[in-house]
Amino acid sequence: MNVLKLVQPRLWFGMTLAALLGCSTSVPSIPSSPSGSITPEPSAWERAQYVDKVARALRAGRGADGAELEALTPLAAESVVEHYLGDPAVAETVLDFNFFFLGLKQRALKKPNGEFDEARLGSRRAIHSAREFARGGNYLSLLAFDQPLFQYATAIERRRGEESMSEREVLERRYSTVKDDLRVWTQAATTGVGPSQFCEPAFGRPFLDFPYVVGLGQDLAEEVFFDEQGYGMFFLPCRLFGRVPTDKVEAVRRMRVTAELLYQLKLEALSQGNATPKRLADLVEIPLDKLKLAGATQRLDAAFFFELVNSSTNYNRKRAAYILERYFCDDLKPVNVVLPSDHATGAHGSDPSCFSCHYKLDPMAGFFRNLGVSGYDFSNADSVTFDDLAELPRDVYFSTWRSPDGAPRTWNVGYIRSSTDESLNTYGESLKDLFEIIQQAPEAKRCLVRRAFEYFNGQKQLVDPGHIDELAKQFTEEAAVNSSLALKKLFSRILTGATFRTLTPRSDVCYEVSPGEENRARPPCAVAFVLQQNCVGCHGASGAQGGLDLSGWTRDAAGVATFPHRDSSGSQLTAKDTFDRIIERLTTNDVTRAMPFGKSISARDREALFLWAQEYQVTP
Amino acid sequence: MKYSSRATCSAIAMCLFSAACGKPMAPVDAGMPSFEPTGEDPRASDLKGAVSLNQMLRSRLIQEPDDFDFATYLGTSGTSLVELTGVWDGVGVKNSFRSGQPNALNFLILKLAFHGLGRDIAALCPGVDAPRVRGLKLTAEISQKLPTLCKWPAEDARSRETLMAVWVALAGYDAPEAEFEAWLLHFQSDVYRGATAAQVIPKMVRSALLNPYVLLQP
Repeated sequence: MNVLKLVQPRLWFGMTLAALLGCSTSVPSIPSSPSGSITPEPSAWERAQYVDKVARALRAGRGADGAELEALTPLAAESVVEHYLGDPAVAETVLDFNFFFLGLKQRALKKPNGEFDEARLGSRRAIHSAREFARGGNYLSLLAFDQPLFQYATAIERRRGEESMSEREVLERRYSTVKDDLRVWTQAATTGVGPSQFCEPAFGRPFLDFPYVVGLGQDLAEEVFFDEQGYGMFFLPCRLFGRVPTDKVEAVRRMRVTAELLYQLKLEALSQGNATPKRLADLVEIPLDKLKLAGATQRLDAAFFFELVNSSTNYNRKRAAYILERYFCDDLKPVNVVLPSDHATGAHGSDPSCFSCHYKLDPMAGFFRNLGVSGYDFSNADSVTFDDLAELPRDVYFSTWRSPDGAPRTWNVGYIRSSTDESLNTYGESLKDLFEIIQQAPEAKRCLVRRAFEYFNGQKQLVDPGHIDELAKQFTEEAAVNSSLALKKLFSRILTGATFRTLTPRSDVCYEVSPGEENRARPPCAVAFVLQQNCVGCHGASGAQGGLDLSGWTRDAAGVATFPHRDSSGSQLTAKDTFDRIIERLTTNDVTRAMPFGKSISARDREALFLWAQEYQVTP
Repeated sequence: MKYSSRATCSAIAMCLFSAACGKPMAPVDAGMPSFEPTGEDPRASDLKGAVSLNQMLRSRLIQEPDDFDFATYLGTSGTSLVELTGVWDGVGVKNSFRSGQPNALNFLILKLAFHGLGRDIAALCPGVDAPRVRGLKLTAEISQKLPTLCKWPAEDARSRETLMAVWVALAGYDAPEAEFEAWLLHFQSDVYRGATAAQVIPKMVRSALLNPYVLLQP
């Protein structure tokens, strides 16, 4: 049946939802036509387009079928979104979004046959958070330090000769290999062989590979690898530093216990009959608490320490940049900042252009200072070995972050918002502190909201920062009660927002602006809200210091759009003059000229203003 | 990257698929809608990407096989070639969407893949060679219309109702209605009145799937 014949014209996904949800909208009716003009009454086709778009957005790419189109096209936008938010597949969309947020988005989370691909499930926090969402629990466990110790059983990949064997038979066969191997090494440990034999590349290989080859996931192999009480003490020191733990017998015994436990866990997963999961709910949770794993790899995603290596010159800055970009949406654009009056002479500190990133990058890197090669924890060692295998005494290395005598804290480690006003910063010492900061920081929740907007509307879609702030404010308030419900409401606001409802949006148009700003002639939306927050107090319509009104938008004598900016005689300055001055005042490190004068502006806002002004100067 | 509007892309797609037809075609009907460029659109969409496109096909069009992959139509290097039509990739922690900007090469890859798919769908009509993908089965909605479409150029095969079902199975509601109307007009024109189902179905599939609204991210 042709769904379009059934749709009766009626008020559809209009503006009522915005009022209901408190969303701001600047486009009075949607969807707009491809040319951007306003269509007061969406056609039946456009309604179907919207329903299909929502379905694809929330069901991991699966569009609406004929029956759904028939049932949903007459409904209001919020009802359409509500319908699809009730679909179990939304949890997979949340999982995909979590990967996107963490910078780990995969080409596909599943194999072509629909099974989850264990090689793609490399983020415990992403998976756990999505499962929490599915059961209405704590979605924001995504930002937590402590992640539950579990792993998911997935299908065992058959090797040659194993094609006709059952999963259980393959498991038995591989466990048997591990046991044989460990028996040999137990004997070797007992008879007191030297380091060279224990450090042979073949040592422990079957054990090391065991979790992976029996479908317990890549992560788990790496967790075992880092078991500080057992094998980790063998493998890393042995391979990298030529040292062998003194109690070799105990180390091998722990390996055997671990292998036995993994074997039992996998047997249990097989007995539950779902080692080839196709839905998030099918993934079998395997408690790992009995493994007594230790180390930071439990807390961070598998790829973290292997991809973000820490060299003897990088000093964890790569890891810090990742945290700033993914959890705080700070991509470290080098816009000059005001130098503190008592500016230290630390790394990159004497050059303002370097300092503009390093003032926040280095203190963030300090959270990782105990973790050396491959994330190995050197807390209890005298020296730290890096991924380039260089070694430094801990005291020398740690001096990078040690606060000067008389400072209020031991370590200059933290999330730095201001280079001049320490009261705005949040300091800490450990990785646990870092994740406490992430959980508390409004910037992190705002970042999550911004990523959600990008996830559904495209990374290039322009949006008023004030609109994101408003969404973040609502999300933060609601998440304090129930973060899974808050995420649903956030998704709903985005998917019923004017940007998403515009079926062919232009990436350079703001479809939603901050509340109260809808109908006023204002600067371009990319910066209007930032200006409002940081500059208009002094440079507003009623108090335009220096003759510059950053709340308005006009044209100069040549017809170029610019801010109202009058010289002492009352004549409008050219756009070029105005923008030259704005850029100079944004980038100078002279505190007597830097703007905003006597105020702190966030790195994010300064960057947004600077980049926009620079681009506008070239192409007004 | 800035490039011209989707209408222009539509024109390019239509021109390319028409020019690629094996048999010489009559000139496009003078009554066809104009595809003149409408000026620069600063929007810079990427392709949806290989995985999304495949998922879209499996959701709308292909019921079986379960592991259908349009890379099959690109020969032994298919899985590598589709990577050039946009995939999420990276070093593990800073992944990004890569190779997704529309260009001549990825357009050609998609064209070849969709041509193969079109031929396979045509092969489901009685009396046409077997499809290359073993066990190919279409979704219920398009399967119901296929017997009618296979009678091309019979009047009911060329009807608006049949062609709309075909369009929706291929392009869904990704594109505005005007795109469907242009496509409909094209295939109802005299150009295809003398063609067989085996000739026209691959062109329908290719032209609908190469529509920029279908290929590009919203």
